[in-house]
Amino acid sequence: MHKHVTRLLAAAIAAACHTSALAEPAAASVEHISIIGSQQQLDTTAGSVSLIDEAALEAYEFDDIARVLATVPGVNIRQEDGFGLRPNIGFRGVTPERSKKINIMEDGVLIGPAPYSAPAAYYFPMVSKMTAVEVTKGPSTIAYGPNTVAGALNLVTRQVPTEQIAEIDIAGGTDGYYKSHAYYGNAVDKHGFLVEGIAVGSDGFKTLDNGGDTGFEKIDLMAKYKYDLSTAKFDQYIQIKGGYSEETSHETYLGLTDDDFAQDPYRRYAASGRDKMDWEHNQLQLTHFIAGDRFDITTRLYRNNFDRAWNKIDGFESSLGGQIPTLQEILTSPDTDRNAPYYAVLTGQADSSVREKIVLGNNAREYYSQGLQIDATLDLRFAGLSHQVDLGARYHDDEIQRNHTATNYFMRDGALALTGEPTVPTSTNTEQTDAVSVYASDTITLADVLLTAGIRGEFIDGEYQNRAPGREQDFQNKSTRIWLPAVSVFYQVTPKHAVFAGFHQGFVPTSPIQSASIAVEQSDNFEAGWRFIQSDQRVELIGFYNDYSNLIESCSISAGCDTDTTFQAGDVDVYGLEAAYQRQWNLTGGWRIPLNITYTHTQSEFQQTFYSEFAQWGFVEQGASVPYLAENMFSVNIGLVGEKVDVNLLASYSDSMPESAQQTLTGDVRDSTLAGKETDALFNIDLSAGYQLTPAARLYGKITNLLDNEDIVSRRPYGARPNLSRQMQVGVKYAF
Amino acid sequence: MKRMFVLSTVALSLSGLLTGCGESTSSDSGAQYGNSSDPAQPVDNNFNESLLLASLVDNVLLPTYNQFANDATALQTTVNNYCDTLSAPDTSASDALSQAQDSWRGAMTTWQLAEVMQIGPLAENGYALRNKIYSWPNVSACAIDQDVVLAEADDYDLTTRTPSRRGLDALEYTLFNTNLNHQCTVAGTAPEGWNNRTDQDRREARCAYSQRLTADLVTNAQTLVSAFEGEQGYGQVLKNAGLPDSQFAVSLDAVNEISDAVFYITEVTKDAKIATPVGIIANDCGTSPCPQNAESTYADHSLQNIIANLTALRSVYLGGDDENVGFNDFLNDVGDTETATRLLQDIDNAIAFAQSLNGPYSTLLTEQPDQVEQLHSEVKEVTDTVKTDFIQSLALELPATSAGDND
Repeated sequence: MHKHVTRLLAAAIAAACHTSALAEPAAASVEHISIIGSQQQLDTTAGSVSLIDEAALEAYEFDDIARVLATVPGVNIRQEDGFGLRPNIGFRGVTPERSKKINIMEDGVLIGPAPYSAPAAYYFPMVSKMTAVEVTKGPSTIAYGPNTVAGALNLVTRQVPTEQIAEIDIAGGTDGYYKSHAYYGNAVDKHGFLVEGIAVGSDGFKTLDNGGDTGFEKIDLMAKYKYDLSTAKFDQYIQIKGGYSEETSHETYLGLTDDDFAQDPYRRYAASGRDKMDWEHNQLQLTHFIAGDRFDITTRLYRNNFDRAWNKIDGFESSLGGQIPTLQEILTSPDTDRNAPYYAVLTGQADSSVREKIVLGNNAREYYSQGLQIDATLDLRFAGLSHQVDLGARYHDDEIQRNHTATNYFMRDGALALTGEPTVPTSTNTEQTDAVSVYASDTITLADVLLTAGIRGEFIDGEYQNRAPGREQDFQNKSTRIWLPAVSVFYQVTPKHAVFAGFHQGFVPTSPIQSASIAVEQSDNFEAGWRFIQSDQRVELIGFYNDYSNLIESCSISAGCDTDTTFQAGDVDVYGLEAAYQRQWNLTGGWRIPLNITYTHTQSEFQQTFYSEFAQWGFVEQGASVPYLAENMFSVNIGLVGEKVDVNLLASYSDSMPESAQQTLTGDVRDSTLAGKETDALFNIDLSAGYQLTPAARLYGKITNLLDNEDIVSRRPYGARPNLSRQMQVGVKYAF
Repeated sequence: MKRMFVLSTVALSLSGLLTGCGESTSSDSGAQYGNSSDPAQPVDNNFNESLLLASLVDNVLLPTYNQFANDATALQTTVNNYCDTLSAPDTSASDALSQAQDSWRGAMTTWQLAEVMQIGPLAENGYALRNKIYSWPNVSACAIDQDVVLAEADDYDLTTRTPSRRGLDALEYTLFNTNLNHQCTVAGTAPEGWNNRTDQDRREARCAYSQRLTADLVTNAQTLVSAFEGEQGYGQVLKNAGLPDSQFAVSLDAVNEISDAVFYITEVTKDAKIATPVGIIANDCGTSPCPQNAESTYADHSLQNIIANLTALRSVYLGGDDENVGFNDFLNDVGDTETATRLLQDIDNAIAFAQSLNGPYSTLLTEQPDQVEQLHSEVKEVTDTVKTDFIQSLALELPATSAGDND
């Protein structure tokens, strides 16, 4: 009932509107929310930065960030649930697992549930409401922490308008897909506000054995109020942003055996029938902005709360003890003497015996993330040179409280039935971090050369405490201090040609629970590129080389560890090439053809032979590749856009990826179960079209996965998982 | 251009300097913090842990493994004798079967001592050698039925078969199960034509398979002994713990490996062998007594197994007997005399109570479940002390499987 009310409220926001003009926010107010800023900054950045603007986002109306980022070079993604509810995003070869090594921001503020204490991004903002998506890699990354090894992803929400705006967007589609999205904003004198609501859901594209829900429902509400304090001398305002969102998704970590996938990739086993994610997120952000002729300062005070209950099958337990195969082992070899009884129970073909109790873990967690950050830009001139100085400081505090429990079930007649045993706590602990970070950079303009040197400092104090009774002495206080330098040079060779190069140091901290003896992840990151820009086309070519002195990975719930455990791989090299080509042909009659082509080639090599218990590594030979990193990725986005009609087609390709760094099974019991296995190569086409019915009304439709390809995107967490099936959706937007 | 070069050089130099001196991490942690990868540090004491390890190897581990090898050989002899007399017209076959069953009981009792000593070669590669000798609870009557028939083929090789078709658990089925019909219930798994064969034919087939099983058992028992004894054996590895080139950086690590093995009493004896069949933990009957979930159902040897497990715990704790260097001496040396005395008394109490129970375990479970629950309490007294006072006083680490135990 509560959900229906909030959904109706979201739709009602727009229904109450009566005004007409569709106004764009003033460019100046966008730039400080955006981390990239203006197109000029984009063109003169000594590094790889990408901006997907509102028009590009509207072309496909994607709800999944993975599909949005398909057109950005250097982004590696491991798909999981098909909808992108919990995306796995990495840049330039860092592990995509739960996007834990990139900085995810909303309006320039860290938005992960607890970016320092538990960086796995189990919460991801509602992509459907964003008006821009920005990707930063290379030396510019040091302005955003704590993770500097890969880069930053900033999602930009709608700005408070300077005049009245309103829009409603209703869409429906296959598998019970629906979207209702509305916003209304206005400005009166010095007061401005915006309210926005969106609800997205689907019945799901998979089918549970013996029936059941496999869909999801997400709701997001946001309100902003802005008070303009500008004077003749300064642009100035304060703004408050509040948000609430929730999700219920009948998702699971359980996939299929390869044979079952070949029969029906969209099947779900009976044992996953009770799996469900429930979360709530709310946020409050206070912003002050002031800008003069030669400076601007943005101050943000923020608080995010995130609570979740994540019920899902974790594995088997036996009342008789003994060695029990993991779900991954069962689904990889379902026919062996040892595994066959478990497989029969998973699929509901057999009832559980006392040796095959199904364990459902409820990984209930409470997070908060809060802080105060100040970012400033100064335009100075001294020593006869022009300087742009960027400064920033942030105090950040976040926490995760784990209250994990496990409940045992029997499989009975194809459905889960409680064993009668009490629910038991499994992990009851808290990780908390106080972090102060600072950065400074100076860009010196010297004729056609921009020379930038910068540095970032992270001062992290973490606390871990086991809260289980009798475990009071299981705690750790840990402090990490690090300085991360960056330098870059940009040279405008001709008005159209520019070259650039840069270096920065990569860093990923370890969470407070990890022993201080586990080194933080560090890398030396180099890149060099060439950019060609003219009025109707743009080319960018960047080579990168990341030299990890210590690559770390954490094994989370999805990989079978109850509490994140960190593993180290030592030296690893990742290098590659990113290419982007954009062009627009302007035709007669107001028609134009935009084209965007991207290509990424990535190579990775472990620099030593070692064994690791980390499930994705196992027995690693020197020279082996990092898992879940496609060597070649390619995308073509082409459109035909007129005054009333637009048609866009996005084709993307990604090579198959190794599921493990171990290349072959050795017969050792410690083998990485998925050694030698690879995901399918992925080729996908999405098609969208829109028609402007009236100046205010737009009809649109899209087909995702046009070819209805059925591919294994991953065999993790447990078993083979499919890409999103072919989906068709139509919608209408009306701007009042 | 020259100025740009100078600026670049300065910037790069600054960057290089910062790269070299950038990171530091420090921490302090509580006594129970368990994720440290630092090696265990010896507690401050005068106790010679090497003497404890030598005592355990010479007085407990190796004698147990040797005894089992002898028992396995005796079992092979009696099984061969049984098979030889199977076609005799008199009662000699029945007598021979009784002898073979007695031999099995003897071997099983010894093996239940070794169950509490699963370290080194027994634990390697996912407990492969242990599972070949005894794979419970990974057992399958149907798998044995299948292999009884498959073993009649010339090219059959038992050594390539999975553990549930081998070892003492398979022998229990072939020697004690009086139902000659196969136990396969899943379509397509039944041994073809088995139930149509004569009783005598089926007895001979099971006996022939038992001979293969005992030969395999003797080989594996000797493998175990060979892996432990001698200058290159694992017994010597334990004795040399802490010396240069040892795989154990400090002798306490080796002591910890043995203490890990002792947690068998918690996870298997207490939980799987007692709590599950009596219904404290869910079983196939729900949460009520369920004899079919006991360990040794065909021979009804479950109670003897439990007593053997507790006896082995006592031996390990004492390093043999009162005269030898044991964990009790270690506790006394670190000043925890109270735990040293109480733990031994609790072990003796649990053994005495188990020995006082009358009748087979299956009968106890159905007719006197309160007695089995009392046995559970007696054993829990022991395991609670082992998990807390024992571990903490000796600065040992809990095995990972017990760290999250929610007792």
